[in-house]
Amino acid sequence: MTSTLKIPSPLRSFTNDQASLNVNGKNIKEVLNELFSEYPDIKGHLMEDDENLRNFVNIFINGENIRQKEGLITQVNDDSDIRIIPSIAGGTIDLTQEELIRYSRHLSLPEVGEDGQKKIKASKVLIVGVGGLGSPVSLYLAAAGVGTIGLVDFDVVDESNLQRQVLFGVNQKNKSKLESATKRLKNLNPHTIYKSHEVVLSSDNALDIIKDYDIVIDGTDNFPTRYLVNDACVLLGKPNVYGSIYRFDGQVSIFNYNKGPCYRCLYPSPPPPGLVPSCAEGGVLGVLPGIIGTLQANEALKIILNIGDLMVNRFLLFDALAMEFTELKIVKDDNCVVCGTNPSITKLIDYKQFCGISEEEDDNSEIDEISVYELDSILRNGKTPLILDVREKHEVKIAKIEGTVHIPMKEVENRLDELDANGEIIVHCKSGARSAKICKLLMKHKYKDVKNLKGGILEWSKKIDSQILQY
Amino acid sequence: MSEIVLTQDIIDSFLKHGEKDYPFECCGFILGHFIDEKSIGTEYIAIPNTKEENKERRFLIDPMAYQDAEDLADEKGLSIISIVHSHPDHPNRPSGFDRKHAWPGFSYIIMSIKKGTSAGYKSWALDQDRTKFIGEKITIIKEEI
Repeated sequence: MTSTLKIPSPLRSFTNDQASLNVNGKNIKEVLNELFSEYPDIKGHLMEDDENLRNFVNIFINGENIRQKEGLITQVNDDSDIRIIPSIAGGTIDLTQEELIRYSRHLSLPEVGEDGQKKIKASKVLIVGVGGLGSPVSLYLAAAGVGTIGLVDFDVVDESNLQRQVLFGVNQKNKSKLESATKRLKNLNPHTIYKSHEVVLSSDNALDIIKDYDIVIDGTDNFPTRYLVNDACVLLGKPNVYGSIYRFDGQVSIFNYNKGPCYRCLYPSPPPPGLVPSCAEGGVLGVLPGIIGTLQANEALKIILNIGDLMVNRFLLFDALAMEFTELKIVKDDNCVVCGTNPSITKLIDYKQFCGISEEEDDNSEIDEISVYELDSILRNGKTPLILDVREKHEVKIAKIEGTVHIPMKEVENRLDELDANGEIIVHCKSGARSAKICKLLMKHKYKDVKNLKGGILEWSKKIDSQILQY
Repeated sequence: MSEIVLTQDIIDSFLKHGEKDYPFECCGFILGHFIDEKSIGTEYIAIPNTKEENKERRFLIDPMAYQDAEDLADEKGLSIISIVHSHPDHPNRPSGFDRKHAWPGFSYIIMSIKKGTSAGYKSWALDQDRTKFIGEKITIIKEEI
């Protein structure tokens, strides 16, 4: 009763490199036991602990699979040709048991299911700006199981961030945003890979950072970075999930996806510097980034899952006061300088210059400046120049320099009659930017002796009077 | 860490195969020799993915195709040293499903194909205790040894 048993090549290391063995068993079970008694280490790769064949291991006898016969007790006749053949199979990412439980509410949605959850796990999303928008976006995408989340920011957590940036708490004050965010997100979902890009996104590094991701979320708060993110996404062919917030208004759209428009199709050039105040100047309702950011996260998941109607060719406006969502139709501009048919921008440019920021700085050189030390010594010498504080009312409540006149920035132009055009005026704000604008305004109105307090009240607090609170 | 030695031609062949079969998973064998701790590849054979459904996420090699490839290898005095497959739009790391269907000794080469273009490949070997895959070194040589 001698038959031959052919050993598959990877297992020949267990049989002293023999490709086939002579065996004498009367059925397959006996043949295998013969093999295992001679070469015990091979057993674990063929059999489960319960003495059944591993489900991917097939045994063929004279060209027939024993599973289609009598299994392990299939008879072996003389001169049989017995072969061990792996059923070679495999596939993409699987979910661990823990993940199956964690994502069970996704798995029961037919639109997501196990395949969808695996797509989410395989996806890589870059979030530019980890602030008001980046907080909800990163929290929800991490919770949803996005496999790789990249975060771009260079700032530290400031007390005034906590009003809306729900990623952070008081313990993170003055600490790196990315370090704090990663810690929080890891605690929320340890299955996700978090990549920190603790840099100022620039024309030099943007392509290199963005290229490794599938989707980019724009959570930036300034025009140069917004145009930079847009152009980099167009050049690399990545969808740009856009969101922006100001006071009580928000906007959401998806740019550069499925032949839809890019940000430049809508806004070919930025507004003049200073026209649109930043959130720091204009304020923002704390809950607003929560609403807009979660809408961005929603669109990102829909892109990953390829489900639903995306915000492509659509522009959503949200008015929190009126509680109104308005949708605009937008179209790709064939003449767009970056995504049109004949683009003139084929590499990243200088976005600060494009947005007029450097010109603005040049303009400031015309303004006379005064240092906090100089002002201090003037006051000590008993002089009483007019010191104009142009900050908002609530800021004055936090901290003020004694003896100043307070007129909020927006009111100055209408209250010029309160200011002597021939006297010396020293203008200050928190750090010197808003007061510079007011200096220019006063100079335009023929005020002769106008000076900007360099570094504002923050500098005054640091160098002159530490009793004044820094905020 | 084990090592697999391949010619650029073999690598190009399987990458081309992976791109051609996108968005489905492709599979194939590399024939060659086991020498000491190294596996040396001499040729790539493309094998049809006989999975009937969900071919974007799964592949299956018909046992007969395996048998034929092994016979061919034996005739040439070679062995099947590696099983190659693609992960369309997924990373080039093995899944739990891959691990359950693997043997030690084979080099499992997984290539990631993103939107039809190859995006990296890695070779993995199953640990003797079957608990995990370990990354393998891939050495690329110009000419066949």
